[in-house]
Amino acid sequence: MVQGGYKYHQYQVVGRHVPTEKDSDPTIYRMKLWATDAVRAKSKFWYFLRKLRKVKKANGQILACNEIFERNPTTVKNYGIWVRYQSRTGYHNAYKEYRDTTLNGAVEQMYQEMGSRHRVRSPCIQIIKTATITAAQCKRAATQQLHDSKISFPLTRKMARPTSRKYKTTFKAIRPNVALY
Amino acid sequence: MPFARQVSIGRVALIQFPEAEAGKLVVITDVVSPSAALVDFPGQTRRVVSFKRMALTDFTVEIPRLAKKAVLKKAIEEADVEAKFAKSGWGQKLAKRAAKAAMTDFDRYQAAAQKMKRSSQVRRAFNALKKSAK
Repeated sequence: MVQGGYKYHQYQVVGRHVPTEKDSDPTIYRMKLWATDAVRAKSKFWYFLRKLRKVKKANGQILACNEIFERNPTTVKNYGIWVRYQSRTGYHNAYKEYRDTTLNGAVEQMYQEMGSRHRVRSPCIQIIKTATITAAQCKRAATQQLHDSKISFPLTRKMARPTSRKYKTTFKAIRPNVALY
Repeated sequence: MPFARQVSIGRVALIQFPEAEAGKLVVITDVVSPSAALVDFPGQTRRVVSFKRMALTDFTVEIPRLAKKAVLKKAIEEADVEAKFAKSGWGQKLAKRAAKAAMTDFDRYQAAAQKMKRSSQVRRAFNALKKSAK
């Protein structure tokens, strides 16, 4: 859940080679990818399709570009994301797990985590595959620890935060108290 | 001192931020991560709220994980959460604060007039006692 909207949106882009005399009905390809907007999505579509088939934007046509929205944005799901990223020394594959209510949220988390943990910027990340995975299929301890119907934990560090932005000041007269349980 | 209030499914919490939602009671129906939970309440949409934005109360409700609205409503009515919270010290304090903020100038005048009347009677009685004690 991101305030102000998700940066990365999921798009379905459908395209094919333009019909020629040799091939009047070319195979249509469909890709699901993440981009900040539809223009970028179409550009990425050609980038990936070029690598897979002998077609490029100059001799191809986009048939559809639709945004895909989350079907159930009020249920928590476990997402597995397979990424290919470029580090300072080369390309690597990674599998990451996230718990979120929407796939866009999980992808957002992935970009944030790759940036913070591995210093990988977003242009150097390619999402290979994403999937909603069941609790049994989760591999990471961080997601598995929340798979408990009787989950119970205290909030050990709680600070009194200003209740509205107008009470937020740079300096405060008293030191913070984090023992608010 | 051990931690008295734990985050669990069914825990009742009070939203503190943002101001538009502050003061609303919610029930935790699922935990997304160690920093956020899925909260729900009859009349509100189910949404994700960070633990930093809510304060846990002493009350819990018996619900299954991700309870449906009807189930949640029934459980809340059975536990009588809203009434219990309003009766608690915390709830009373919030109600008093809200009443004070909603006072009109006339209400403030009435309160001041009553206070003056009361204090004058107290003073009269005190002075009488003081005189008789001398």
